[in-house]
Amino acid sequence: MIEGAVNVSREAVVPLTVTGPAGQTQAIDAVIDTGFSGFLTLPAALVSELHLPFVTRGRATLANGSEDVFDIHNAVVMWDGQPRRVLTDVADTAPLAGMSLLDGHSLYVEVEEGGRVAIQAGLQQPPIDTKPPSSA
Amino acid sequence: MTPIRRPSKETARLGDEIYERDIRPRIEADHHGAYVAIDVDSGSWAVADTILAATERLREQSPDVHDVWSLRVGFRALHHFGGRPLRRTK
Repeated sequence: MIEGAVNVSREAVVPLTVTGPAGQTQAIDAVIDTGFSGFLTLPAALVSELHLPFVTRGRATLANGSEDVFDIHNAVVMWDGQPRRVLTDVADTAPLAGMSLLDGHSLYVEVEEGGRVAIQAGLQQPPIDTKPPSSA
Repeated sequence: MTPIRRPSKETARLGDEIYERDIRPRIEADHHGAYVAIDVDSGSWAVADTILAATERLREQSPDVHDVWSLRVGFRALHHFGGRPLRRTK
């Protein structure tokens, strides 16, 4: 399970570790964005620092309906203790974790400052083991 | 040393041009939703079910490729941030 917390802006944030091809690693905090259909975004400076290999360029649609061109690089993210290859869009914003990264997982968010964020492999029902019910 | 890529808008323009001219007529009917990766320098291309698979297939064909444009067959964009594109009205 990957665990994080909701910040003061009510963003659900999870800590991740990104690794480059030469083994350099960087800890990041990624905001979970259910409106982002890709995997991950990282700022250009970090992509360059970790020497993440270029994969392709492509077009993405932005929230206002406009389109822009993004460079996409290849990163390795430690995911539940396992290295996972992840396509990473270069974007100079706080890193975003998108729905392709969460595919096949369950997501639980308590939306209040400091609230719990949990990502769990698989599609459980109920999705995540929450706090035990208080006894009557 | 990796050669410097051209400005990204120029990659997009060339990639779209190659796609419309050489690729779309051959694949659009049978590959809706698939991903195409195009070497905008040589015009070589590959199609697969994921972006990663398409770009890897392209690099197997052309190991020296360095400026790659990818698109999704039948879609305006590879992915979206915060707002799914509205369907285009005919």
